[in-house]
Amino acid sequence: MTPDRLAQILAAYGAQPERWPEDERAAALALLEADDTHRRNEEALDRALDRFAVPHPDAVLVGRSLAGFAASTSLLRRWWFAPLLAGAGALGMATGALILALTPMDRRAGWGDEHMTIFSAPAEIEETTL
Amino acid sequence: MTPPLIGEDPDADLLRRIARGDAAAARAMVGAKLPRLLALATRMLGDAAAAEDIAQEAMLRVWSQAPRWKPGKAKFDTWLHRVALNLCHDRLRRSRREVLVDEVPDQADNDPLPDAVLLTAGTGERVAAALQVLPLRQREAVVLQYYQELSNMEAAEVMEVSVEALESLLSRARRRLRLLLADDGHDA
Repeated sequence: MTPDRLAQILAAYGAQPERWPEDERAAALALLEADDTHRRNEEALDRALDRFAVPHPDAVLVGRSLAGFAASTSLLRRWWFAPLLAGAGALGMATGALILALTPMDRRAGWGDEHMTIFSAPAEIEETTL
Repeated sequence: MTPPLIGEDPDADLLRRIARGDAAAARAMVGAKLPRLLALATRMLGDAAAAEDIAQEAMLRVWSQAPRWKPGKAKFDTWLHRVALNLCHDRLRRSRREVLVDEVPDQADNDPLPDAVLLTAGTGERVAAALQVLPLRQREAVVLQYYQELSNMEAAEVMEVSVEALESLLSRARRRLRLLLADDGHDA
């Protein structure tokens, strides 16, 4: 530790040793015992800086911040829900494909007629509006 | 609450619990981080209302990041400081009050004091105004190292500069602050 380096540390980090680089602290303190003029100068600035206090967050800000957490934990955003939803969808598709594969072709013939209601609705609406 | 393992990020346990939707962990995180985020933003921006917005937005980032957080990379607190600083940058850029580079040369330390400093009455307000006069990078250095009490390596990591560059920014910032604050018989 040289006097120049000690001056640099004080100029950059201020007078409080706990703010100094940890690996240089002991050597800097030892050197300071000989002459602490620089340190006294920096202490004055530290005291001034400490006067800029910031109030703690009020209840409204705390509430707003926690509301953000509540929103983030809604079902769709939970980490476990997306894979669950995707898994259920895949299972449904696989079941449908399996039923289709196991059903003989001749039994599938009538399916279209039985389930036409939904698909024919637009045509009916079209007819009535024309 | 599980105590952190040696070498583990001290926020890791809270993050795991938050990812599981643990409301008590969220309250603990707000208690630990919100005051620091508000302090950082207030000192960076000099605007209490804007600082509250930044602190709240940074907490939203915490909630969205928690399920994705990978231990072993940067410390969570370092990441959060960087998020908050970036939000402050965005706010300052929008308000067009600042440039993002440290362009002011050292000789500018002898410039006349801005009215903002001369006109404020209380000491705390004078310090707040003096901070706003500093070039942005110098202000960041002081806020992170002095007020947020980050180590020199943590502050340098947040600012993405070397420790030597951080020390240079700190020295220039403190020299300028001393000039700004010594004007009216103040003990700086």
